[in-house]
Amino acid sequence: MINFDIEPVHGVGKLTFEGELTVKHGKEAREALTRALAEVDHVIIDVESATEIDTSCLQLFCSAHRTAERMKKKLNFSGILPYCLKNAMKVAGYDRHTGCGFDPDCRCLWIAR
Amino acid sequence: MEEAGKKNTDDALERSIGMQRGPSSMEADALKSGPGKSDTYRIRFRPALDIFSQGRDVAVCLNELRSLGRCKIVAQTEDIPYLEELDPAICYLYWDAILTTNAGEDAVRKALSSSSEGSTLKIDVIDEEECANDDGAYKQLGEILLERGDLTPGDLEEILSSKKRIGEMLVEAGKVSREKVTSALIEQQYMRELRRRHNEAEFRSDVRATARGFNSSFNLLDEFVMAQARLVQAVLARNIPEFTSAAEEVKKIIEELRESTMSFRMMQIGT
Repeated sequence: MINFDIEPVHGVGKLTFEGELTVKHGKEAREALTRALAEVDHVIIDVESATEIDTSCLQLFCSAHRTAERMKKKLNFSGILPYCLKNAMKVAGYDRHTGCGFDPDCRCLWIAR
Repeated sequence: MEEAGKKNTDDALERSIGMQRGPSSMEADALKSGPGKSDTYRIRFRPALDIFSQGRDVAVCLNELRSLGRCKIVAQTEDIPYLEELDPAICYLYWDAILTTNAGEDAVRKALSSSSEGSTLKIDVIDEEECANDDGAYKQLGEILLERGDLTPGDLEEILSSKKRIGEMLVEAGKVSREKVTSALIEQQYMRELRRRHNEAEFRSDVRATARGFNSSFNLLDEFVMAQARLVQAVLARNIPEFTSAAEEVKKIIEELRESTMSFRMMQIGT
């Protein structure tokens, strides 16, 4: 399930993903991220209630982050990352300490998580 | 200000490597390789674009690769497009891995070939156990990138004509992506660490032997002692002065040899 709540005062939107977050829900998740970035300056992704995350989802978040950078907006995770995301990062070789070429300000989602 | 930023970038690259080689994990990884001749492979694995929609899990292949030995895997994300161009069912990722294993190249191929048809796999042996460099040194970053095909010789020469750090310069000049530089730096650090450990092992004062070889030596020594005892007894019974002193000498040496060999079986307690 995907929920998107906007905090109108500060222009911050919280995008909540729950349950399974895999390639099956890829299109739906991409649409939600696109809409969130179009509507607010700062998107906070909450995946604390996600139960399963696969490699395609990591790729989707990467894409969303570089899209946000291009739009001069912010996108980051909230709170503590769930085990399923940390494990997916570890297995897919995403554990890193430097951002990519799309991330000049070193705000990469995966740094030191 | 700009210089400081560049320094931070380069330091971050170096730090990324440092953070990935904790001593405990290195020890654990080294144990995984087990006995036998280990080679180190540089692997670039690009699964088929439609691997996600085929319902296959890349993570399974990557874990299978890890199970072969000591392994460092880096996801390459540079081909991931912006959201509006992204098809979530397509895999834009590819992976670089450095693997030290005694399982052989076929096992590496087998681990990754099960991913899907249409994937590409490049495997290079970058270090063979018996060819380990004596001084623990490894290739320069530019050499690694050239070997990987991520950089052309012309671009390298152009960059080397200035005096900054090569990784920083290559990224700034847009010749190589930051991810590729990071991946090459990881290989460099991995190999330096591997060779340092190899050299340390060679110069350690204690040695390791198989239990079977050790027991066999003890058995032979026991038989030798018994044969020597019979020989000395025969010499003394015949009372031949020329042989008596020699027999006594042999007896003394063998007793010393026996004592020192038996001490190998003793373990110090409380250290």
